[in-house]
Amino acid sequence: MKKVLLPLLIVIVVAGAWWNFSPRSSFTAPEVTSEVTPAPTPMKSPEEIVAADYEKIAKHLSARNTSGDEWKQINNYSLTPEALVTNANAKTYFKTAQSNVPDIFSCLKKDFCGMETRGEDDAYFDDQKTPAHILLNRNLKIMKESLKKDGSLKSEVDWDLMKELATSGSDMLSVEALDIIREFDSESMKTDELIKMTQDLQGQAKADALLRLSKKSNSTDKILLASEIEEIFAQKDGNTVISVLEKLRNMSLGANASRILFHLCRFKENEDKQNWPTIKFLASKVNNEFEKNCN
Amino acid sequence: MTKTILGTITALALLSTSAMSADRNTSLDRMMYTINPAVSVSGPVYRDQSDATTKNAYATDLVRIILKEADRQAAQYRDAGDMKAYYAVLTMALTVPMQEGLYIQYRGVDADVCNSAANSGDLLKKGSATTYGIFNQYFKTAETPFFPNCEDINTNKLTQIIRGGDGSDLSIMQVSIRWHFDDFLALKKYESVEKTLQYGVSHLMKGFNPVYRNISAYECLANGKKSGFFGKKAKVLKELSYTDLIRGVWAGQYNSGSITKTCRFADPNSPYKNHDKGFERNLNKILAFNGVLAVDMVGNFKLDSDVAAAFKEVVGNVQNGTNNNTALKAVLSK
Repeated sequence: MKKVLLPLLIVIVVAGAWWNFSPRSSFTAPEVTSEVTPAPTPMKSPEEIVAADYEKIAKHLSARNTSGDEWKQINNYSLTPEALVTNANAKTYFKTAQSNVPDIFSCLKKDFCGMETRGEDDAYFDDQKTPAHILLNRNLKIMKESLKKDGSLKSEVDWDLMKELATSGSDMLSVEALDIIREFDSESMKTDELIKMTQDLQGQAKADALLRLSKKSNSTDKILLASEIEEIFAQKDGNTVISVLEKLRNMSLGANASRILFHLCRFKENEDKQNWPTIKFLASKVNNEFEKNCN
Repeated sequence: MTKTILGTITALALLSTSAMSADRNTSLDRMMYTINPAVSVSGPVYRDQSDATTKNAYATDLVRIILKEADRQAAQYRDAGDMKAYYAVLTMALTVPMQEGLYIQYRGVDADVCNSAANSGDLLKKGSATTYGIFNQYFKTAETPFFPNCEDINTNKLTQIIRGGDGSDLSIMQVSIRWHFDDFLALKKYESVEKTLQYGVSHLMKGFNPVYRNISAYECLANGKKSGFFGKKAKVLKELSYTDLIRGVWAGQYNSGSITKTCRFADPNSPYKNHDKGFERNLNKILAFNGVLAVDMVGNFKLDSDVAAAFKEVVGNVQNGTNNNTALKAVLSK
């Protein structure tokens, strides 16, 4: 019997050790730190939550614009403006979008069109990208697409409002409004004036705006753009510098681009020198002599 | 004595059985929407009723996807040779899904646990007919609604998706559909673990890049004060802590929606200090990884050796400023 017991004892000890040290398939953790918590009762469906936010915006818009299939399509974000606007419906969409823009902009300036956090424990509030920003931006894109499809609509654009949006301090709206002005009001707005309108933009928004301004620009415009970028490289913060540098090659500035790179050498030793590897890497793609020129 | 032996054998047998499968984790029942069985979702599915080996394989797959996505989005840092920033992004990407979604996007469960209140569309009718019509399109009125009513689901083999907050946060990255409806929601990125991680990591990068590139502007990350001559305080740069940077990006960009709140994590009076403490705990778990991931409310996952080795390299590098990457390269190349 003893002979049988000994191996069994060994098996039990080994199994016990395995049980203690192996990963457990399920357990109840004493402390919960994650963001996921059991949903409250009564629960709201995702649609109900988003609809409530949207209702606050919709009440600022004309009832005519928020009924019917057109409104539904404007809010169908799975459909790109390019797919939504056709030659046949451009006028209709332009009219609705242009009429929505000032109403949304007005409530956005007042109180973000009523957008709030969902409660005391919710910290999230992106004041650059509320639902009203997104809807306004969507209307601007639809306006732009309508203008592309029907050039005669240019005379109906409220250009003063576009200029106000371009300098509104909202990154996404500024970039989109500037693009509309650049593409459809270039007779009255010259490149230097457009560049001036980007003065308050920083980081990615500044880079996006300059990239768009670089499209269709002539050689004189390219010199103006290069001069603006030179100032950025010489004086602006690391984020704006790198964001612009990332897009520099796509701006097709030719020899102008290479010439202005030397201003970036300041990052070799300045207080944001953690940027030096990235700057070196990106600048060398424009001019492979860049690093040597900084020595 | 024979009885004792038999009892011991029975106990051993039970022990092995319980290692092969587990009871349903009922804590998860109230954190899930049930997905239409007719809809295919893409990516690993966590099964709390499965055995430890299956669960470990699940977590191994998930970590592999996270590492690949983070590597893709941090490629510029890697290619520029800024390995500290590169490993910080990878570590951040490993931490946030644990903090946000318990390392679960989809749950597979064999039980009648569809939650009628969550899946029903009846609640919507409180809103206006117009907005109901607009937003219903995402989950309810499509030809194959993503969240059908529970009574229309004729199976107990369910696939669910994790939700949080008041129900408006969805997926392993807890993306708020209130704020991200134009892209994440409209383009149905929640139907794929990879696309969800792409979106979530990209949202993190929108905080990581501007903060890291302007690090000297963040007192809590890069600046210290030291006494100079005549007691004057002089601004000095302190060595950047990449783990603090991760905490700042989560506190600011991801949890507050603004990089202006990056230093929230260092403010002892912040109303959200418990959020930040929770994140710190999860970050510390990631940094201390030794082969087993302990996820709150879910359990422990022992990762396969190749992925575990890559994981250890990443968190070792971010803490020690090293660049050991043999195992990581092997995982990324598969």
